[in-house]
Amino acid sequence: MSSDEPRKPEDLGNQPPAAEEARLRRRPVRRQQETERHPEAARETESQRTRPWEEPEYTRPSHASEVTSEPQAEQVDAAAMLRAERAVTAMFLLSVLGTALFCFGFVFFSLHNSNYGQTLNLVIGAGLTISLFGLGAGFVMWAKKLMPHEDAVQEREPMHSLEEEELLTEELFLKGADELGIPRRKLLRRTALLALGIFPIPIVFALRDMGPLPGKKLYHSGWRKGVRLVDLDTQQPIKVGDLPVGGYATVMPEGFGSVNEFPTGPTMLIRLPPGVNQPAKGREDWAVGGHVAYNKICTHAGCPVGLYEQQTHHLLCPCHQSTFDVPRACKVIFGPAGHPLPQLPIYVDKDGYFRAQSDFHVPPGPSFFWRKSKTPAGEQEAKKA
Amino acid sequence: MSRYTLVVVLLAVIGGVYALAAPRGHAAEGQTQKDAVAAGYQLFLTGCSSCHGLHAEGGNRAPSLIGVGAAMVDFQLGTGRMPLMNRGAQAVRKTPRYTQGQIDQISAYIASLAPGPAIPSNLDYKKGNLQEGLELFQANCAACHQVAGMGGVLTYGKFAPSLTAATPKQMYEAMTVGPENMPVFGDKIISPDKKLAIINYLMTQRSEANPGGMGLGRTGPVAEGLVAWTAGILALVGLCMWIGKRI
Repeated sequence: MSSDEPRKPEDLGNQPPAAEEARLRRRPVRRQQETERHPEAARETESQRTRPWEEPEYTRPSHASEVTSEPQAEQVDAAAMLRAERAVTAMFLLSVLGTALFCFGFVFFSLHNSNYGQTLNLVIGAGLTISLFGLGAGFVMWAKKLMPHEDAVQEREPMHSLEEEELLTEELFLKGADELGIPRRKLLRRTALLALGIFPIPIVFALRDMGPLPGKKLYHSGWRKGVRLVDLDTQQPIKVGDLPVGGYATVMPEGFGSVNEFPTGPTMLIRLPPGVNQPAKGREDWAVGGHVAYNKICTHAGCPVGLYEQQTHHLLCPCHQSTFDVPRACKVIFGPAGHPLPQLPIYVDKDGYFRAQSDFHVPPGPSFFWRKSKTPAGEQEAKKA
Repeated sequence: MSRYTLVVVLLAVIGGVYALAAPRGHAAEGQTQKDAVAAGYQLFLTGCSSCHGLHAEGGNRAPSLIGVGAAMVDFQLGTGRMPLMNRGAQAVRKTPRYTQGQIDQISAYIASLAPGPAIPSNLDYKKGNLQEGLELFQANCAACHQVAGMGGVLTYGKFAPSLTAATPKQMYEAMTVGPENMPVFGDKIISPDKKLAIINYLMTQRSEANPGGMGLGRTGPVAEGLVAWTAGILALVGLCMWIGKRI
């Protein structure tokens, strides 16, 4: 019996020499070392072995150990075979047609016709579908109809390693450690640990080099004392009376240039109905009439909080549904935002234009690690409210 | 002849003489306007006053309508949101209960109470700049209404409605008066020309083709991914099982 021949399950128990040979071949390195170091081991016979884990207790089952085969109708009946062949051929020809349709579609339908390429998409999509379907169906039918049906039982290999292999690994590992002299050579052990220990430190430098630190930028938005509020879209300064009750405008500091320069600059100027606003302590003069100005950048993840509900006076962030209560200093009433929207103190100059009293008193935009948790007057009251 | 009959006759005579002698301002037009206001008031009494008060002064259940303007009335009645069917987070669009003629009459009555935004006329929105319309819509409207105007959710059960059924007039009115929780976009913030641009964008967009085939409500990649992964994969699995059974 040659070792190439698949073994049947009944062979597993009595371990003929060929099977043992095959088992040993699976660990060629180990076997070789053993033979080099102890030439006598190579001559060892089965009965002379003393180490129990080398006893041939178990052998991995071979693959495809049990096969039963039944002839197909198509293999017996020539007419059926012919029919099956024709069906498979038809599928492959269908695939050819689909491929042709794809090419045809690409050539004859422009992407720039009035339908924005809808026809093109449809035709090449259909072509590709038919082409792949024909190929797939053809091969499946070929295998199913024209190949002998076999029921094969294949046994799985055990999930764990063989006990002998585990023991060998352990032995090897301990032997290696011993040969290295880890317990004895203290100096080597310590310097190796030192070298390995400091090795990750360069990562810190690499991370630090990812960009300049933001510095004071996170604290400032581009607003400053006396700057006029201009509409983000028209860049026109906004006067008292421009906003109807229940209206709002997104405003920027006058002369802002580009929003990208002041990413936390966009601010909502909202006109509340008279008597609705409940200014927080210390913010009594931050609003003009019903006009209040709050930063538009969500304190959670920095989305523009543009959804203003004029009856409930809620500001909703579209990204994660953080909801801010405008009349009560934009307190967070729902959602993941951790801070109220910063309020911009405003006043009206003698010509009736809105101007900022100062920059925001707290850092606008999404929270950051070293943002001071101790907040100036106003925000804390707003939180408590 | 009783005393009451005398009073009635005398009143009728005085009224008639006054009517004949009274100065007629704008002749027929003024008269039809008056008629419209009177007819509108009657409709208001029947259909609206139980909530909004006998003189549109509002009450516990409904706001005052004094000063909301004809545009608000035309919008609310024209979209069928009023009369309210049931009290919920927000009124929904329904088939209008009134004809346009009746709506005009009620609008005339409300407009006669105090000045307010008028019903826009001659909305030549095709003149609006399409690209500007898109930009304005993205900046001011898309946060709530979604960039294709399909609507979106707000807080506590409220929502921004889909704009696919709104007429250009209703869109213009909505921007002018800010119905319910929609903010008011005054002419100083979004000028009439810009409003027309926004309307043009929305109207043009309705007739745009969907390049991928089905639009799936134009709600974006989430809906598309959901359909692809659930419907598409399920269909493929089904097909594989079918092939496995049949062949």
